[in-house]
Amino acid sequence: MRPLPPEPVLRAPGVALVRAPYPVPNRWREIALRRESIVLAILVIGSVLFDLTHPSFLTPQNLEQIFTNVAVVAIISIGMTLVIVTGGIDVSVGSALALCMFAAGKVMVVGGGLVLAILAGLAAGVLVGVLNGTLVAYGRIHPIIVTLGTLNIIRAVHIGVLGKDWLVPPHLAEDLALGTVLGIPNAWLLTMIIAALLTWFVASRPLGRAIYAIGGNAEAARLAGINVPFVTVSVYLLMGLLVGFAAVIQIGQAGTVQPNAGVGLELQAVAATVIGGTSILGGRGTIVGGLLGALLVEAVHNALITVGTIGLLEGLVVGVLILIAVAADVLQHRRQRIV
Amino acid sequence: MRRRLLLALVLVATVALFSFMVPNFWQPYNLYQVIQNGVTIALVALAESIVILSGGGAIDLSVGSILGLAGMILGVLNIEHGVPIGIAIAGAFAGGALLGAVNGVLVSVIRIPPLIATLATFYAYAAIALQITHTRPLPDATQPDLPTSFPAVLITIGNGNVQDVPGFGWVPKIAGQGIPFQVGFVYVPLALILAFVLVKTVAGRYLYGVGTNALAARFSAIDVWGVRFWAYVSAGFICGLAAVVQTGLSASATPDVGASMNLAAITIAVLGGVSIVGGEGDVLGILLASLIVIFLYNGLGLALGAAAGIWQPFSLGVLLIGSALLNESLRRRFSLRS
Repeated sequence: MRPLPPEPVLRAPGVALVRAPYPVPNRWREIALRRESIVLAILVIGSVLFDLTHPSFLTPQNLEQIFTNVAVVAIISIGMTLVIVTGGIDVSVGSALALCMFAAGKVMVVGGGLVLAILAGLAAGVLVGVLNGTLVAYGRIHPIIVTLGTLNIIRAVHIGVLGKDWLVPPHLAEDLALGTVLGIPNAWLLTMIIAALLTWFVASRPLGRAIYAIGGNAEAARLAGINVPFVTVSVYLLMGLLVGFAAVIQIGQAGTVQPNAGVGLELQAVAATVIGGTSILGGRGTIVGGLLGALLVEAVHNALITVGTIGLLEGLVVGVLILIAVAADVLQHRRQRIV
Repeated sequence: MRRRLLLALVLVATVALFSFMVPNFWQPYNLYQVIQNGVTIALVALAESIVILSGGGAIDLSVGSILGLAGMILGVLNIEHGVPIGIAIAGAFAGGALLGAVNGVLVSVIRIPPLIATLATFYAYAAIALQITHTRPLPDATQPDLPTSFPAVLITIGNGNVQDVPGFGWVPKIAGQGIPFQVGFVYVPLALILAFVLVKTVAGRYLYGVGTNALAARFSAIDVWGVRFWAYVSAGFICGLAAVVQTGLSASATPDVGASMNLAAITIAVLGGVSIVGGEGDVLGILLASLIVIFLYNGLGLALGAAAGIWQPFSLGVLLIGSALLNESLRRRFSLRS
């Protein structure tokens, strides 16, 4: 919240009182009109309304299901939020997830423990993140070009070099992915912990603030002494780490590692991010928004399954959700842009 | 000029390499088939290039889905509703243009950034195309009361030769092979028209103007967002054209036929010298890049057999990033802009 004077009055020399060209801010109104609040309201009201016609929706079991299943997309949405805040995008997350799942699953199969498996997943994620980040930051290629390329390159390397066999690793990650503590799914708890840590990080640490700075105005950030390429690589690296961790949870939930895992994941992650209010132009967006967006996408997915027979149209529904969310954002923040 | 020379050299090198490495590559019949099959993606690449030329981050990720959905419109109209093939084809054109117009409205009127707008419509159009027939291709062998094939006219568009058309029998054959219908009557005329429009007409100059410097274009009283809207509509129309060609070629309308075409289309555009920030690029470069990509695809297919399905997208990804890196370094070296 920007601290603004209660009665914005400017006094210029030789000029009588000049009223500032913005209305007096009302703190509660501002909070109520934030995207996060709106998404939360839509989630709650929509769930209650849907529950009236399909009473199996708001049962504890189904809620546990939703909060368990959302974890993978939610964790990746956290990274996607930060990538989009820098003004970039990462459509390679699906292929990256499959690669990380392979790395972690392979370690489990050959007898490494859960910790080693997580490390392997993270390492694979770092590899992808550094590749994407380096090409974006130092190659100066548009992120969509880079990640559209790596989306296909990673998948091909995965299937072509590492093989297209399914892995069935031992159930090491099952507790992490499917267990509950006091009725709250572990996967969701982990998501919350990551989100809390990163929210603190981007709010308080110089590197975190730099992410928003380069998204707002990269040239200004550079002139302010921020190492823009370094920050960019860091963000894509963080994205890789999050994908690597999500991969372990995905292994625990799916039980198998398939080479075609994660196809279409980028749509869900981008949808969650922009529904949560992150500006696709960069510089604006919150991790909490990304989480709520992921919950909304997952709730819609769950509701569509409850209704049944509409599976094919999920791409349409998610696509339209994206368009509504971004259109609302664009119309809300429309300025006097002439081009 | 330099780039076109480079592209021509790469093309010759690609063809030469595959001719030496792969036994069946340099055969008239194979080359005929490569060209025949490649027209679809070459058309989609032209569509993609028009959009990218309009600048402002314009890109169209939905080209493949437009192609798939326009093909389904053609199939549903002709097979399921018995609409005459000519009208069904017109319906596919109109459908493509309409889907492009939806993109155009999202980008130009609502001002959603093109990347997100077309990512959303990419999935939305694909979902609709799959839903229409519940993923089944048309004509559908499981429905006995419907026609089992498209009319001969459509098959000719995809599989015939220029020489088959009455009045064009005099056109010489090349190495015993005819000239594919879609090359002679679809791609070449369209490319010529497009080259003419881009270079010699006000509309084309506006497109370059808007792509190079939207602000300057605005101050020259050019309707920047209008130009971008029409760029999307033209792209959609060309995708509809490509859908008709593709449906004729495979003699069936398949909903997911365009699933990965956006990668190939964007690769061709970037390789052909279309600057991703807009305002740069020409039809000849796109044509050369199209040929490189379709020969690369075919060569890899012949050389690798079943494994090609994996390495073809890989090669496109590498080509895409490589040519984007090349464009960037060329821009930094030769451009006056920072």
